[in-house]
Amino acid sequence: MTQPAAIPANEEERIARLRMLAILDSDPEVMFDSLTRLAAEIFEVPIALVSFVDTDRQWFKANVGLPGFTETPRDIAFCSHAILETGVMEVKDALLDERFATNPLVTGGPGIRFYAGAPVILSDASRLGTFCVIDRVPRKLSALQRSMLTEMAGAVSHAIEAREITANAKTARIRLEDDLAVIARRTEVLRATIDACPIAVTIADMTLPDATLIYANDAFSQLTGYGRDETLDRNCRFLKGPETSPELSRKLGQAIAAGEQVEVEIVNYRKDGTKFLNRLTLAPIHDKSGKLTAFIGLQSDITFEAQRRDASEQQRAKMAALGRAMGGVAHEINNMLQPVSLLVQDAIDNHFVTPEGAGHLGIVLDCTRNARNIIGDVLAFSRPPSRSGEIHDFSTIFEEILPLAIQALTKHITLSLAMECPPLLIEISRTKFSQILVNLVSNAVSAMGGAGQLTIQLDEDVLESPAQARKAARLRITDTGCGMDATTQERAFEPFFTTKPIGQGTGLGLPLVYALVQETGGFIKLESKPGLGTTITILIPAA
Amino acid sequence: MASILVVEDVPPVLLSLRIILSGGGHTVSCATDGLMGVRLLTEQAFDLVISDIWMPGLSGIDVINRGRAKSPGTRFLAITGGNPNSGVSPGAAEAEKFGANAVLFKPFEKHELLQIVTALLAEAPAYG
Repeated sequence: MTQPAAIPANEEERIARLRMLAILDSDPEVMFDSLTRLAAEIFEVPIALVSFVDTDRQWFKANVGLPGFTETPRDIAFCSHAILETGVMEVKDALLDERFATNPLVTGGPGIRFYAGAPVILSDASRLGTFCVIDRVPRKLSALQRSMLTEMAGAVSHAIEAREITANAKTARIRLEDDLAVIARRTEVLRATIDACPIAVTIADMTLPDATLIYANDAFSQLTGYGRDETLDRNCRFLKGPETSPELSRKLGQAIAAGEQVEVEIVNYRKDGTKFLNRLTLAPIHDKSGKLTAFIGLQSDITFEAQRRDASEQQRAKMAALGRAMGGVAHEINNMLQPVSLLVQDAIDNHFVTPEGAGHLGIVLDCTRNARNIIGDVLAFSRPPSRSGEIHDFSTIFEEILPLAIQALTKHITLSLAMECPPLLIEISRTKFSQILVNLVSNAVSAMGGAGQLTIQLDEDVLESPAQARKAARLRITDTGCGMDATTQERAFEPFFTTKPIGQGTGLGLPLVYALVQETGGFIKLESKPGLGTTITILIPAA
Repeated sequence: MASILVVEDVPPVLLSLRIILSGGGHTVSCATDGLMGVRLLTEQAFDLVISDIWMPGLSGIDVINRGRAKSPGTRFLAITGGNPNSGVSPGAAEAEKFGANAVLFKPFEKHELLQIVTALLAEAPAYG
């Protein structure tokens, strides 16, 4: 009777380990084949095997002398018994061993009489199979031979583990290569994005001794004139120059040292030595552990923007100072006019002046009234801006005020109206709107010297402001008059600046319009060509 | 006829007001600054006080407030050279701002002054 071998205690783990190796049903491998051939030579046996004991079979990884056999059922396998042993299992004559006497491998087929197998034991102690030698005649191993068989089984288990390490390494490498490919693709997209970014971008590596630049995009080269080869591996301080504020440099240095984000407007220099105002933002980059690794620098040239900003701030400050000064002056003049008005009237009424004298004094009173009106205009500047609280539809209030404004037209001036503004509410008092329109029309009429074409257009536009874009009412008045040269254009909004002969204008028309439009939060623009005419555009934000 | 106090720091203005108001038959007292005005107000009851607003030291607004506290029946007319819309008839809002019953913006004309003085006195209870 054939006696099937007992199932090892840790069978489940053993099988799991075997499967993990992915060695069952694999192709022949030189290492195992060589060891097997070597064993057959050395032990002078016809058959040598590397056998793995699977759930219900033994499978031969290497096979000398049993052509056509790749596996046999586990219940008749000698190796099933051998893996239970600590050392070599030797069956000197199978016919004399009751475990194997009736085994079909003994009685038929390969006709086994002699079997010696050493268990293949991995370093984690799992017994996967055997390394065995088989003969068709009874034999007996010497002590040396038994020890050699054990050694060779050890070599097999080393070969299995080496094979596993190689396979794992291969898998890991493939995974790594895939990951790297993904990272490379993403990096490429990022790089292309930053390359094409219209804002100058630099990256300084904070782990390098001098925090040198490891990246600069095309916009940076365009901004500074430095090519990439002149930029990389240098500290960004090469942009500094004589007019770079030491205070701002210190501020940058402190933020960098503290690893904090910072924004400055600092004077920097291009490669050609020209300077520009750089709006520089430095943002720290930290790794997962929170360590500062890099600083991203964003830079843009705001020279022009800053000039415009300063100019308009200066203009505003100048207007405000003038307004205050004029307010004081106007107050004094009003005081001086007061006794003139009262006492001249009193003289006419009570002091027996001749009719001719009364006529003259009447002229003095008229002058006093005119002076009062002029002073009223002047004081409009010194008054703090106030909300009118009046809301009007732009086109409606325009149509209401227009008849008043065009009283100034002469018969040789043609008026062309283009009212294309959809209903749009604006906040402005009737008085102020009328001051704006009357002054602009009256200026246009004087510029045309009595003949020409006056075009008034109403439309809807958008007022761009730092905070937001708002809908706005646009009033555009174009004349075909004498126009203004550059100097006149520059001073057109300056109080008391006038091109009219003395006595014909106060020089307060346009400045008043300017002040009133500013008060609405609006915008005024003057375009003029000497000899061709002038266009004044005002935008009043929608209420 | 009424007793009127004029508080005004600019002498020609003060003088011209006195001439016109006296000519209108009123008894006119003069103060050349706010402190003097307040002192006169404590010494004597007036039917009407005409006060400039912008004065060095005590402003016209202070004069009006203190005067009103001392003499609730007195009417107050503020006059000021600081209005942009002089020539436009001043509204109740400006008067209220100064604590006055009415406001005139300089330079005002004789008839404007007399008209408003007459109107204010008609409302005021008569003293003495």
